[in-house]
Amino acid sequence: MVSLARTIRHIRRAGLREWWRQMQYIGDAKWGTYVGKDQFGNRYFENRNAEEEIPGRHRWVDLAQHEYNASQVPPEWHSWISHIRKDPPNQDSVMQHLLLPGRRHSKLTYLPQPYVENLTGTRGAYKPYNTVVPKYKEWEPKVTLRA
Amino acid sequence: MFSRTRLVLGLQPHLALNTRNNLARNTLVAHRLISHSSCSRAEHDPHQRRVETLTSAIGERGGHHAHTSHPVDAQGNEMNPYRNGPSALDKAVHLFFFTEIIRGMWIVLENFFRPPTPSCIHLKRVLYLPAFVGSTPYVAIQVVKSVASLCEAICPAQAITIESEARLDGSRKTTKYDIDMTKCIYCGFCQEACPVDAIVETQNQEFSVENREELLYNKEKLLANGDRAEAEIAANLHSDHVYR
Ligand code: SF4
Repeated sequence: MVSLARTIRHIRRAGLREWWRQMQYIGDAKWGTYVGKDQFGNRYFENRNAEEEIPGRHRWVDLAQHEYNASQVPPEWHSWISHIRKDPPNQDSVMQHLLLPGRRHSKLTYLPQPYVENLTGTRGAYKPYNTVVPKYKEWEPKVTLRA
Repeated sequence: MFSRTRLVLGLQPHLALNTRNNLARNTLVAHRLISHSSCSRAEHDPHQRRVETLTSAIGERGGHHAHTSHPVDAQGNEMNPYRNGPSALDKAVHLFFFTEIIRGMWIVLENFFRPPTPSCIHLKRVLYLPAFVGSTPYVAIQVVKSVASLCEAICPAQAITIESEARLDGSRKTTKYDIDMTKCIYCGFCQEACPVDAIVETQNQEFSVENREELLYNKEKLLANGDRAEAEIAANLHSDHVYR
């Protein structure tokens, strides 16, 4: 949690600029080792020192976009930041193996798709549609000629 | 009169903060981290050698004699088991000066200067396990090839709709695979029911939508979800494969 000493220590380590950004987006003075960056420019940090961060807050992301939301974290990093995988994807041998361009999807018919964030509210939002021919048709009124 | 003098004498080192740094820290800036539990300390201690074995102290805990044995020093004398803990005076000082209440009020005060919770709650993720299907948000179908409709049959919320048609060679092919995510309760039964792992729950959350209809996933959307989360799903399966 926040204490004055911890705040000052983290400002001194991370620098004023970084601290200002953190106060805008995270709301806490955080400092940790830089773990990596994903394809969107989000930066991931970790501080495993239990004296400095409460366990459970020891991995965090600095999201690149101003309009940030949780779905901007791609699945590979999501499993690191949610503690599903121990190592970040750039050090995780299993993840590396999957992400290798030749090996990935070798058994699947579907091509890999780039990750996109939740696009709701924009024109890219998903609209459901029927994948089969509808079983009943709309009523189309026909006007018969009067005799 | 005598007792009062003693009390004042006893308290003085606690109030003179500069004299004993360690004590002042204990009294006023008391440790608030949950992380100060002994198990967490052992976990993160860099000096301690990690031994990757599972042990349990169940044998020691089994008998009552475990509770009665006190630590003994070199001469064989019984030692006070509380000698490393806070003294009675320490505890009394905490009690008299309301330090815990003041610490609680300090937390309230500092939250007063923080942004409201909803704007940063998404940065604090919950902990998922790879095998945890209980509340893992959305379902992705990787390969829809066998049309056994076991998932449709087992789904307790009846969220799945499947339609299929015959191919020329007589095998069947799914033409419609809809999951109504507003009905789905994320029980994971469909994943358990599928013999070929065609339906797998992923751990991504994409539930904040502007329209309710965006939660009515059809086959293409589910396949796209699976393709996007491929690395994560496969890593989860890899970490579980020993138990399957
Ligand atoms: S997770 Fe449970 S409720 Fe959701 S689609 Fe599968 S079987 Fe149905």
